[in-house]
Amino acid sequence: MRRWQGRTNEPLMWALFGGGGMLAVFTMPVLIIAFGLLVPFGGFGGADGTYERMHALLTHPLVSLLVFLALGLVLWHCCHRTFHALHDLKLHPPEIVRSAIYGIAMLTPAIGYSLSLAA
Amino acid sequence: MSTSTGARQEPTGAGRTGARSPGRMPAAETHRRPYRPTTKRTWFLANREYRAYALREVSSVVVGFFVFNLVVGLVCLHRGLESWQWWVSLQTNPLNLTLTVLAVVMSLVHATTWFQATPKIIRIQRGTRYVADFWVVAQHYLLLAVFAAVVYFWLGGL
Repeated sequence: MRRWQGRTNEPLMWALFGGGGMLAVFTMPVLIIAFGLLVPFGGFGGADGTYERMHALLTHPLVSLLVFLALGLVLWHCCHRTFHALHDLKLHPPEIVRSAIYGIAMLTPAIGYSLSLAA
Repeated sequence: MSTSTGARQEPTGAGRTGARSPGRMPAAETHRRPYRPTTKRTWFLANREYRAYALREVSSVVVGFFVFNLVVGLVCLHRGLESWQWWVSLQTNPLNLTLTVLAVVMSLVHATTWFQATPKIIRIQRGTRYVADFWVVAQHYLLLAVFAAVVYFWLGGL
């Protein structure tokens, strides 16, 4: 316990933030245009077609886990930036807000994966 | 992260009765007049650089909402065809579409500013010289294009 006194967890938080940012820049523009615009407006045919092409691969437990982890990492990046932006706005929220914001990043993929396994 | 000193309590409970903790000087005896800079809450609107910074920060909030949307979509894909059809039709909802359009813009802001910053961090030495910034940035755009091609051909069924 003594080893950790006076030390900060910021390097770990920042490493996850940096990793999520790196992943986000390569994937998010593509995923947003593909799933937000092209899929719903028939760019790849109807919803049945995209379901058929994606279902087999993405419902594999291991592939699904990796995808949820990747989305979680990007969400971590977003939550980390959101929390630090509060500081820029001269808001200095209590510890509970910090836990809630990082909690969203951890719980969203965890709950998503649990629901997927249960489905 | 929480400070260890803040949790320390006086054994007699003197801190709670309003008595001053030992070692702290009363306010009246000090002659310090420290300079306290005042910053307005809207400081980030002051100039172009600050506004660009603020835009980059806020972009992550919008992208975060879309990641949440994608997580919901992935769960729907697991639940079956009907669920997936519901999620796809949800994307044409005006509210969701607003988020999507905003997210496209914001993700591009995030990506381009990130790519601009990469040569500052990634320095590759070849012989006695460093690889030019252009190639470092170009390599990142290439990776983005590769991922786009993979998703395009996968969803399009080749």
